[in-house]
Amino acid sequence: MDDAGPRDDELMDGIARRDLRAFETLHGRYGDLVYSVALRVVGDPHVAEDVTQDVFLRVWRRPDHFDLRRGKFVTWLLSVTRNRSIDERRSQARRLRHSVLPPTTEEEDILPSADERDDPALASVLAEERRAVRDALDLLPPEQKLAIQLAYFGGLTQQEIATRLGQPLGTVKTRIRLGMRKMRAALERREGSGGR
Amino acid sequence: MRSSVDCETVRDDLDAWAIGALDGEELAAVEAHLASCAECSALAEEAAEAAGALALAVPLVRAPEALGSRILAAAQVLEYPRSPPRGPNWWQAAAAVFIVAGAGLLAWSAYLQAEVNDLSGQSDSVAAAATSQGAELATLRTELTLARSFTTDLATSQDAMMTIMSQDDVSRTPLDGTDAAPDASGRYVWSASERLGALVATGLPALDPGETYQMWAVYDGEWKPAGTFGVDAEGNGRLVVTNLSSGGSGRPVGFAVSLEPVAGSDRPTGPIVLQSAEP
Repeated sequence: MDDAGPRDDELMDGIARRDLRAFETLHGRYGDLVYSVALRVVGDPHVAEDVTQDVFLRVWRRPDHFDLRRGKFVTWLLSVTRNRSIDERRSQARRLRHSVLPPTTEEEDILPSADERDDPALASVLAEERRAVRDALDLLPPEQKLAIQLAYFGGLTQQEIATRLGQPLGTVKTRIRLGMRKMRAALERREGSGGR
Repeated sequence: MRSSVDCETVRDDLDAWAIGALDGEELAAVEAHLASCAECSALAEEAAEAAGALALAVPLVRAPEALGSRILAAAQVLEYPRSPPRGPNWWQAAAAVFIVAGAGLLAWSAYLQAEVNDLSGQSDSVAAAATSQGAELATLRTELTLARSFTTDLATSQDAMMTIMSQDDVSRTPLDGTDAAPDASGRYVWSASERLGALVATGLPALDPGETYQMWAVYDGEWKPAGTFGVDAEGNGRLVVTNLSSGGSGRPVGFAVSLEPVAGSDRPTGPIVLQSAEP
């Protein structure tokens, strides 16, 4: 964490004891990040607000859903946000009677490579971790990066990505597999070199 | 139980599984295997952790300030359910839905007002763009009017809820989902002294455009419309009822909710989705 203060797991313990101040601190720490992920997936500020609210209220109501043994809190929180956002996008698609998720204008541009696209006032939030993920993604060939982002942020399955890109399913599977392995290896090298 | 795919096949699919790119039979096969293979399950957790880190790559934007206040206010009023939501806890959580939704609409209304103000300023200063901006402005003003009316409705809802809940004579009628909406449930509260009622429903199916839910008070031999309402993404709906206080029909013997065309109906025309025990 960049800011001093209680660790995430200590805050979650506080939330389990119904400590509203712990919840407030946790929200202060990750509110913008959760909103940013939701906005990137759903593309609509009002829907992103709803998703953010829903995610934090789930944390407040069911802190026991987070299991420290299964990884970092922030990773879990953002996975919950991503999944909730994808659900929202799918239900929007159903309401609009699309069988496949409509593309968003940002889809080709989901993963930026430089910090200057952040709101400058927020650039210090998890700066090192975010830089590491962006650097790792920058190592990937564009077609691997695109396949990964269409799945993770766009909510598309491998088959849907193959259809969208006009590529064979096997090619898309290989791109995702190779891309994710390369990204994981880069992150592990960084952690191994004491970069965390 | 042995799964139908081997470890090697599953491990090839774990990254795709972790970023949510599997579906259908592939997804079912991987998840069935993970349930029975501790080694692959450990690898799956590693893949999930790496996939979760992807979200860190998004550019950061600042969330609206009002959102934070809304979330904290909602947390203050929300119950912490350690058991399935039933009884009084369920009701308190439902009451919180009113408050949260009201706060959201207030924020939306404020946002629309800011947009209107902004566009009004632009319209004044850029005469050449007056036609397109004027149209946009008109649309926004219409939305703002609607938002204000919803906001007023919801502020009324919150007041009504608080008023009803504070009365000694409040009566509560549970409503159960029918075969048309088996996951739905609801509760209608009524304060005779205030002549005010409120329905809170949950688990209702999403509405298609052109549809609404309509509540009915069932009197002896007569179904009287009590109002229409929509549902949010979670299937939650609420309605404040003010028109059942007098009418010479005596006390309702029960309540029901049906699916109707968006304008509402004089009598139920669509399937009943919720009903109390008596209708």
